[in-house]
Amino acid sequence: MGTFYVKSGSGATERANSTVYALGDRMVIAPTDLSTNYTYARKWVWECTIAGTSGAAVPAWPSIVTQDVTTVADGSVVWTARRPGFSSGTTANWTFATIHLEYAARASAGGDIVYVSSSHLENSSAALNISFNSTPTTVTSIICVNDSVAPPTARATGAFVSTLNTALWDIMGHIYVYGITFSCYTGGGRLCEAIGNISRFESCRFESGSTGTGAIWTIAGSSNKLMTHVNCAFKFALATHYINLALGTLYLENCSIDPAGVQPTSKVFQLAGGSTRTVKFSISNCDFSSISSGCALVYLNNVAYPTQIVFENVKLPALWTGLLNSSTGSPGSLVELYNCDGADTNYRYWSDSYFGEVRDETGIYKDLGGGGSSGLFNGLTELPGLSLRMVSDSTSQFPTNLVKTPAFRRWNDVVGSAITVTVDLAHDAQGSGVGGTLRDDDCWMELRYLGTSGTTLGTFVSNRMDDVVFGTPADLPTSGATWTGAGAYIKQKLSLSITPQERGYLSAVVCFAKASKTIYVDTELQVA
Amino acid sequence: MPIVANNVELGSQIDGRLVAVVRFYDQDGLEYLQTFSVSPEANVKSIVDEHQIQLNVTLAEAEYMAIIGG
Repeated sequence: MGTFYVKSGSGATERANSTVYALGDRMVIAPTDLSTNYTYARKWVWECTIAGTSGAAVPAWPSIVTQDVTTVADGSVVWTARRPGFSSGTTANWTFATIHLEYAARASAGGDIVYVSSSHLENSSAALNISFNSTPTTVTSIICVNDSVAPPTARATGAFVSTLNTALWDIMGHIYVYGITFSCYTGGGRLCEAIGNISRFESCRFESGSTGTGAIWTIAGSSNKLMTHVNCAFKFALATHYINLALGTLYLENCSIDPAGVQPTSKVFQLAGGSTRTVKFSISNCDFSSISSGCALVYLNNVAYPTQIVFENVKLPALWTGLLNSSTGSPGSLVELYNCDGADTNYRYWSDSYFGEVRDETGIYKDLGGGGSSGLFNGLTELPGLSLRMVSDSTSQFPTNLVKTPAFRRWNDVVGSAITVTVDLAHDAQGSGVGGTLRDDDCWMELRYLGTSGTTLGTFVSNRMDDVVFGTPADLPTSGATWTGAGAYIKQKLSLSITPQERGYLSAVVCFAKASKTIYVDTELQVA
Repeated sequence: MPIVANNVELGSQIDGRLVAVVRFYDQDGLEYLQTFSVSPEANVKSIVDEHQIQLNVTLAEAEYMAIIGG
């Protein structure tokens, strides 16, 4: 494992033609030097070991360089190759640090560590493409550190790497990054563009360094990604800026939108369209409380592939009126929001799919003592008086295009005896049956339990009209439960009798297939 | 296709806020569902109008992408 040092104030400068260099001066080749073998030369810090004046043109860079051995004649100057951060051999010295992160990326190999001084300040005028030579099993670490000693002993934050070049900026490789601020320009920036990249960014910042519409960060640009951001902040410079999601499995944990930046008004996240796809996206414990009160959380491009997005324990603006998903998305996509609010609540649930939405409802709910205790919802809350409002879109259709609740789970100890599992409903004559009652082709329960002794094999049952083609739909049974806020609504229930053969969880999902309707579902899975 | 009509249902919640269920309809009669929360003092109509503007933009972009095969 090698180590490499990056510090803009190390004393090294970019080489210039026809310039006097003294013994001990350090230089790196200029980013504009694209002469033969420049990619090899960038890997090194070059120390002046014979003073003189550099040539009128760039020297011939060698393709094979050996630390402390290889020299390059440049006018009357002779340069000797030093490993970035080492005066010679293994003697670490910050004054020999390279001044460009991209050069350290070239120098490092998989499993190496790149130390970046907390005072590092890099504003590249050249196009940036920082690619680390790492593999999924030899991840390169890029760590912002306190540069008071070499080798460093403490990590830090504050290093700043940006570009003022209008070209798209890529940061690629299998990498762990700590404490660095990255700022993209009008061309935007992409994190881990290469296929298969694995990355984890901790305590980093991603800023839009321009008010140009393209100055946004794209997280993961190619397929087969695993990206994690922990304690990271995103700062925008334009109200229409957002975080672009392309492909892979992505996690944001403890991240935030920087309140000091311009706040997004349109969307926080956009999933790119075309052939790109985000397989799974999890956002937990993030602070988005500074975004515009009307800003949507997600925009699923209409041609995006199906994806699953879960927001959990996210702080939103106090009086947030935004949408969970401001586009129609695609069939198979699901955006869920658990316990996310601007107020001190603990019962929020909201899901958005292609076929409708499901939200917490506290104005219409089954009463306590009405056959069970309302408000229990997978341990999410103990609020008395909670139901889920299921609102179907015009695309809902029996038996395929369904609005679904999250699974209601309840532990079951009964084995070998029949039990009846029930969920109550209320609605304003929204069904297809007589007088607007719900039928078993409008709404049903899918129940999973352990129904076979001696095995982990589960059992799936449903009270849906079984034969889709030749069956005759039947009204769901009425319920005697009392509800608050449901006045003259029709009260019905979904019931299934089962005989579990193993202890374990009962898991029920309510499905709703009647287009453009609204029903209310009690959150308790009743067992009798 | 542009949105030409909408239907808004409001429901009061325990925290005093209202949940709005809005069904937008384009000129072909297709429905687009949105829900959001507002404070009781909020001007729901202006929020719905703003959402309708955004939805029109989204639909126009989708129509364009469909045409160019994006």
